[in-house]
Amino acid sequence: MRTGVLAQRILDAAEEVFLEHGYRATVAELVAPRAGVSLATLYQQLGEDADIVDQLFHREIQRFIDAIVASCSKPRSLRLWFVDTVVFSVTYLRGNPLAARLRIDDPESGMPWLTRYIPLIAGQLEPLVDMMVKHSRSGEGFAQASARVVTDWAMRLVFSFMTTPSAVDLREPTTLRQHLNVLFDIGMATTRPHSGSAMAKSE
Amino acid sequence: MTQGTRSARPAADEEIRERILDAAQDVMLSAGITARVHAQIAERAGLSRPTVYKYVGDQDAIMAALLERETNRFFDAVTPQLERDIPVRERFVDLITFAVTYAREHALLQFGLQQEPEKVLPWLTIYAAPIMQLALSHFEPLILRLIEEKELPEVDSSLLIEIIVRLILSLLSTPGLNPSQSREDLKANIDMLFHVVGHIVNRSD
Repeated sequence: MRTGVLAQRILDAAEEVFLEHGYRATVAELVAPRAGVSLATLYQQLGEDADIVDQLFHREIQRFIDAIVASCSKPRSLRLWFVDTVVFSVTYLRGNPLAARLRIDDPESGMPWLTRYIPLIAGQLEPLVDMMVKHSRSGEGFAQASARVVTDWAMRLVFSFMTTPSAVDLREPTTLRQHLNVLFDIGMATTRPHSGSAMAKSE
Repeated sequence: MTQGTRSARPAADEEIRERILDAAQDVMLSAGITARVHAQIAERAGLSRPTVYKYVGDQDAIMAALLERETNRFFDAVTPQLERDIPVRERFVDLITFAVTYAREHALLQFGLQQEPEKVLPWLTIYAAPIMQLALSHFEPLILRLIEEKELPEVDSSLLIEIIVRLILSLLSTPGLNPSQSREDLKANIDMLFHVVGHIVNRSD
C-alpha cells in the first residue's frame, strides 16, 4: 500500500479516470494530468512498471476489508458470522462504484481479473475469521474449522452472488439470507434419511 | 427433460448430430474454442457443410449444441450422487466433489479455461444463467421427489439447486486460498463448509 499523500491523490485521479473510461483507459498518460502531476512523479510514486488499476483495486480492497472488520468483528457464532459477513459484503460491493463499473462496463475481460482478488481478500480476512473460530471453539466445540477454508468459502459465495445472475431476486439482504439458509439445512442433515423416516412411520 | 426434444428426432438424424458434435469437439481441441472452424468440423465429420448447416447449424449453433450436450452428460453423471443411501450432507459433499473432479477432467472445458480464459470464464460467472437454467430443469423434478419422499429436508428446490451450482462454478472458475488440487483436499474443504453452516444445531441437539 502506498500511503503518501501524493500517491493517494494520484490514486484518486485514477479512480476518476477508471469510473469515466473503464480500466483499459486508466493509463498513466491520462491519470497524471488529472492528478496535476508529471508522468515522472507518477512513476516515482507508484513505481516504474506501475499497474495503476491494480494499485487502485488494492486500495479499494483494503477499504472493503476495513469495512468488514468494522461491521463484523463482534464475537458471535461462526455460522452467524459467516452469513452476516456474506450478506454485508454483497451489499457493500453492490453499492461500490468501482465494482459496478468493472462488472457492467467490461464484463468479459474484467471478470477473470476480478476473481484474481479473492485470495488477496481472503488472506487479509483470515485473522478476523481466526478470532471467530477461536470464539466458536470455546463456546461450541469447534475443533477443526480452519480460518483459511471458512474465509475462502465466504468470499467465493460473495463473488458468486456479485457476478452470477440468480433466478430469484437477491437484491434484498433478507432474501440473500434465506438463500444461504438452504445451505444450513443441508449442513444440518447429518443423519440417514431412511432411518429417520422409518422411525417416523413406526411411531 | 432434454430427452423430450431428442426423441422427437429420428435416430438416424440423432446419429448425424452426434457425429457433428464429436467432430466439433475434436477440432476445437486442436484449433481453439473461438477459431472459425465450420469447414474443418464438416470435413472431420465426413459431411458437406450444407449437411452440417441442416442438422445443427452455423458454428455458434454447433457450440451451443455441444455445450448443451456436454452439460446434460455432466448432469446425468452427477445425478446418482443424490440418491445414495448416505446422510444428506454427505451426499452433497460427494456430489460437489464429484462434479468438480468431473469438470476438471473434461478435456474441452480445461482446454478452453487454459487457452482462452477471457472467453470461457464469463460463461461460468456473469453469463452462467443458461447453465443455471439447464440445472434447474434437469434437477428440479428429482429434488422435488426426494423432498416428497422425505429423503431431503424441506427446502426451496430452486434455491438449493442454484446455490449448489454456485459452489461448483466458483470452484471451477476461481483460484481460492486453497488450491484443492487433490480430490481429498477438495472434499475436505467442501466438508468443512457444511460442517460450519450445519454446526450449531448439531451441538444444541
